[in-house]
Amino acid sequence: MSKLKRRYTMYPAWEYKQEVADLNALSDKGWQLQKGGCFRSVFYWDDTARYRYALDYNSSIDDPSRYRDTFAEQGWEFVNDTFNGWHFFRKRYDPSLPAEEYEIYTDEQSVQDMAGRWSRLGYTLGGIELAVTAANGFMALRRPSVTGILVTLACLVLGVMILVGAWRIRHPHMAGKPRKSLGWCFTTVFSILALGLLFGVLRYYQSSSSEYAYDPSAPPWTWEMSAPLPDFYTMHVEADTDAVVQITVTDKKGEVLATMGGGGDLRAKKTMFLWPGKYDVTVQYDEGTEPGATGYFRFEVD
Amino acid sequence: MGKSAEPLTESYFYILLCLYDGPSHGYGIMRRTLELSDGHVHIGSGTMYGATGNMMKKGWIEELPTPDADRRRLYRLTEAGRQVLLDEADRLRHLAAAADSIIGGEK
Repeated sequence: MSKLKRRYTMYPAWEYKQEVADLNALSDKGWQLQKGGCFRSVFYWDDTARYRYALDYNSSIDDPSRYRDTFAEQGWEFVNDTFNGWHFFRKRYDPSLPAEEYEIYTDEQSVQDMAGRWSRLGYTLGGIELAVTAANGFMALRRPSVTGILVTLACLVLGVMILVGAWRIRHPHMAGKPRKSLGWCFTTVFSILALGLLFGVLRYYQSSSSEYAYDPSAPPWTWEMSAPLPDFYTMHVEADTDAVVQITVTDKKGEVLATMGGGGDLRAKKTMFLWPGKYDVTVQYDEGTEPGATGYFRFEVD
Repeated sequence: MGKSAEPLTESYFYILLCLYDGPSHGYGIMRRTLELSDGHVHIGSGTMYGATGNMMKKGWIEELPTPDADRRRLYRLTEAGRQVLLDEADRLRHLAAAADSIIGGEK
């Protein structure tokens, strides 16, 4: 059984020529493509053959049998296709043949047709991505969170990249040289997105609450709450008291981070960014409060 | 249906031209095109699939049945396709004549 090698690489669709060049270079070194993919490719070892590869994008082939037969007629061997419409072909390399023998699109019109197929998809995906960015951004403004900011950022960068890519594949002469680094950009974007989502899941299960009933004989009540992750936290206060009170959130150095105050039927919330650590929530009744005053407080931080 | 709305691409023109004498398959069309164009025009498989598909939709060519064992696809020119080819050849002759009347044989 021959040696197998898995290669985890992501090429942006508009840099498909770079992917073909890399597949050809690997074939020259003895690694032949067994299965191509968007994220993972599998190669087998055979240094007795050299191939030239071709990548075609066509997600709506009306006659798959005629499609493959047309390629087979010119010596192209079908390798595999991907879920999103890319087709991998290979042909035995003969150095005596001209380079055109290894081109599948040989006139400007068909190159533009192929590019147009992907760019239509790219513009649609990019537009959807920007709409998702706008929705995420709106939610992040309404309810700030590190997850919201990371996801919005990732969606924005991804959307812009896809739109630029759709333009680049449609205008190859104006787009300049292939940029291998864009593969790393995609990896970075998906890493930010994954980090944001992971952060969101971890934060989802972290909320704390406390209750307090006013006791005039006791010192000011303090609740020590903790912030396990650096993020925006919202404190919700529901109070029913017949006196004026002040609620403060301070860090352990005594710096006041938030204050809320009022009396009667108090409903308030405050959003603040907290680094991981312990914080004190203090309820202080105004001086001169009647000895018989009552109060019931409920705090929730999420 | 038979009229081409705009000038044909080189690939379309050569495919129709190669079918003028009778049916042929994709590889045969590709080889004949290379000969006719003195090696200048190569029709790759992707271009061939797209062009033949479009021309079948327009009714300019049609596919003929082949034995099951033969994976090659055989195409034939239709009457509409023949007319498109003749019109295009006429247009090109006019262009060439106009060019000759001004610049003659100068290269």
